[in-house]
Amino acid sequence: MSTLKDVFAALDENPSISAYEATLKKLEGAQLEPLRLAILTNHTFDIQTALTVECARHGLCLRVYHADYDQYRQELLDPDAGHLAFAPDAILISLHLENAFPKLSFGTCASSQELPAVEDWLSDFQSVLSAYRDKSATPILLQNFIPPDTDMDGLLPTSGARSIFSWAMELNQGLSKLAVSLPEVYVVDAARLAFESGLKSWRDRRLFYIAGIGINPRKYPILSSRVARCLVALRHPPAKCLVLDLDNTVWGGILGEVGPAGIQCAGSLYPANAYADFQRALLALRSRGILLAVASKNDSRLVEDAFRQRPEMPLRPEHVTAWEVHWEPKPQSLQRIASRLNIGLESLVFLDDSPTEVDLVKSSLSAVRTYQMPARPEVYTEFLAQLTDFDQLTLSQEDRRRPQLYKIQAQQAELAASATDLVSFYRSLQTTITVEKADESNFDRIVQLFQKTNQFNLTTRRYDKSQLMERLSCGSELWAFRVRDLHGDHGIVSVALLEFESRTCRIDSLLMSCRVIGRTLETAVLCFLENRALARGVTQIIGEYRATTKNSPCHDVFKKHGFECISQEGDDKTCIKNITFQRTACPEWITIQANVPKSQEICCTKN
Amino acid sequence: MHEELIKVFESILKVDSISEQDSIATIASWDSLQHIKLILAVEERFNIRFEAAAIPEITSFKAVFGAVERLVCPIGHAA
Repeated sequence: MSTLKDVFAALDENPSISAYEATLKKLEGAQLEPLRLAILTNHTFDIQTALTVECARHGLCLRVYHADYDQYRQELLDPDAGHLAFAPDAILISLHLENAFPKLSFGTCASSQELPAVEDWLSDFQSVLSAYRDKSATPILLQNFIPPDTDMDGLLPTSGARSIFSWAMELNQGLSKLAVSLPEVYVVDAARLAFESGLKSWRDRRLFYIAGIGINPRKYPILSSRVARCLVALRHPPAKCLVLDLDNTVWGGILGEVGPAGIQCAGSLYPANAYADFQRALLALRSRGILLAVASKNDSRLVEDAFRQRPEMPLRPEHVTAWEVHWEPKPQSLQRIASRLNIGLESLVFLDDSPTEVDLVKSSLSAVRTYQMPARPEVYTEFLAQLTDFDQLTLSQEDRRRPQLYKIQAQQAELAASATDLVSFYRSLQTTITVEKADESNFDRIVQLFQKTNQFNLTTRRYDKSQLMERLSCGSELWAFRVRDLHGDHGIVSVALLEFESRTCRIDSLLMSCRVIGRTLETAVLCFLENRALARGVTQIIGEYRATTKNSPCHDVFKKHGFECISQEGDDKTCIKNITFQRTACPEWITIQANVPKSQEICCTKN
Repeated sequence: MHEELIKVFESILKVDSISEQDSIATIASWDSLQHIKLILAVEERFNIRFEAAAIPEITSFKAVFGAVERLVCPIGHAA
C-alpha cells in the first residue's frame, strides 16, 4: 500500500472531484485518530468526501452524522435529536445566507429596499445555541456566511448608502461576537476564505436553483481544509517554540562574510524590507505566546555585534528566549533548546534556508517540525502565515505572557545557582499560592493544562471541557492553583480534580506545569487538598500514579507525602493515606491563600 | 472520450463497470446528491459547463454522453 504522503501528493497534483473520491477509497484501513462530527445545515451541503479526505491529511479519521436538510434548529433544540445519539466529538453548523433570510436574494437593492434586522436573527440564533449549551458541552464550529457577490444597488453605495455586502459582513461580525459569548463555539471564517479565493466562485447559481446547494461544491476542498485545521486544534496543542536559523533566514546575507553592516534586515529597499517584514511577523507570533529561539552556525560575538550595530532591525535580542550560536551540529542545538525550555521536541518548529541542515534535522530528529525556507524572501512572511503548527482556537492570558514567564524562569535558574542552599533559595522566591475554584474565568486555562501537561501529571487523563463540566455536575471538585513570587505572576500552573465517596476522597487528577517543578509547590497543594478533604468529613485519601513515557518526575509524590502504596501494577501505583491523624504540612516558604466562599474556608497549617 | 466518461462514472458512482444502458434507475448509488457530484466531475474532466435545465434531465449514461458530445465538438455534432 502506498503511504499517506504519496496518496496526498497524487491528490494535490490533480485535485479533481473524481480524485477526491479515489483518495477516499485509498484511505480505507489507514491508522488515524477517530473523530465524530455532526454536520447541521440549512442548505444542501454534501461536503463529506472532501472533509473526510482533508481530515485524514491532518491525521483524523472522520465519522460523520449528516442531519436532514434544514433541520439544524430541530437538531439543536430537540432532546431526542438524532445527532445526540451519535455522540459527536464536535458539531459543524453551515448556514447559507439566502436560506437563513428567504426574502433576501441577489436581486435585492439594499439602498432602497428593507433588509431583515440582523439583531433579530442573531438573538434568535443565540437563544438556540445557548439552549443547546445548557444540555451539551460539545464544541461547535460555526461556519459564517458567504457574502453575496451580486446586488441591485448599482453605484448607489458610492454615496455612502448601505450595500447588501456590508449588511452581510455586519451579520458575520455578529456571529463572531456570539461565538465569543458562548463556551466552546468557534467561527470558521468561510467569508475570509471566499475573499481569498475569489468570491464569485463560491456560488453556482445553477446548483442553488435546481438543488438548493448553497456553496459551490468545487470549494468544498478548501473549506474542508479549514474545518480540518479547526478540528485538529480542538484536539491537539499548538507548537510552543519557533527555532530560527539566522543567515538568509532571519536576515539576508552571510554575516561572517558581509559583516554586521552588510546584512539585509531593515530599511525600505529590497530585499532588506522583506526580511524586516518577516522579523515583524516573528514578533507577531511571539505576542501570541510562541517562544522564539535561535539555532545558527555563527560566531556568537559577531551575532551580538550584528544586533548592537543594527538597532533598526525589528527583532531584538530580548525577544529571543534561547540561543544556540556556535559551530556544533543543529540537532544538538535543538535538543538543548527543548531541554532548557522544558518542552518536548514535538513542540519545536525549525526553519532554515539550507537544505543540508533541514535534511539533517529531519533525519535525526523526526519529532521536530522542520521546514525549509522558500527560495525568495518576498514570500517568507506568507510562508510563515500558512504554517498550521501554531493553530489554536483561543488565546489565554497565560499564552500571551509565556515569553515573559520563561524569562522569569531563566532568572530563577540564576538565583538558584547563586543561593547557597536550597531552603534559602525557596525562601528568596517569596512564593504565594492562591487557590481558586473552577469557574468561567479560569476554565479555559484549566482545560489547557489537562490537555498539555506531561511531566508532572499523575494520571494524564486528558479531559476536555465537556468531560470536566460533567464531573463537576456529579459532585467532583476542581481546584486551580495560581502562583506568584518575587518575579511576578505565573498564572494558574496547577490543577487538581477530587472525587468524593462517603468518607473517601480520590485524587482523580493532579498536575502541574513544568515551569514550576522543583519548588515544593506539590507539598503545599497536597496540604490544601488534604485539609479540603478533611473539611468535607473525609478520613482517607486515595492517590493514583499512572506511568507514561513522560511523567517519571512525579512517580514518588505520594510516597514522599506519607501515602502508603496498596497496589502496584508495573509502574502504576495506587496509594492511600489516613488523614485523621497525619496530614501534610505546608512548607514555611510558601503562603497559601484560599479564594473560596467563607463557608468552605480551610486553613493550612504551617510547620 | 467514451472511455474517459466511463472512468468518471465508475469513480463517482463507485461501481466496477458501466454499460451503455445504465441510468439512475439501474444503479443504486446514483441518487440525487451523487448525480450533482457526477455532473460536476464530468464538467471538470471535459472542461465544459451544462445549462441548469439540462442537469436534472441527463440521468442516463447515454444522455450524459450525448450532452458532453454536443458541448465538446458542437460542429462535428451538427454535421
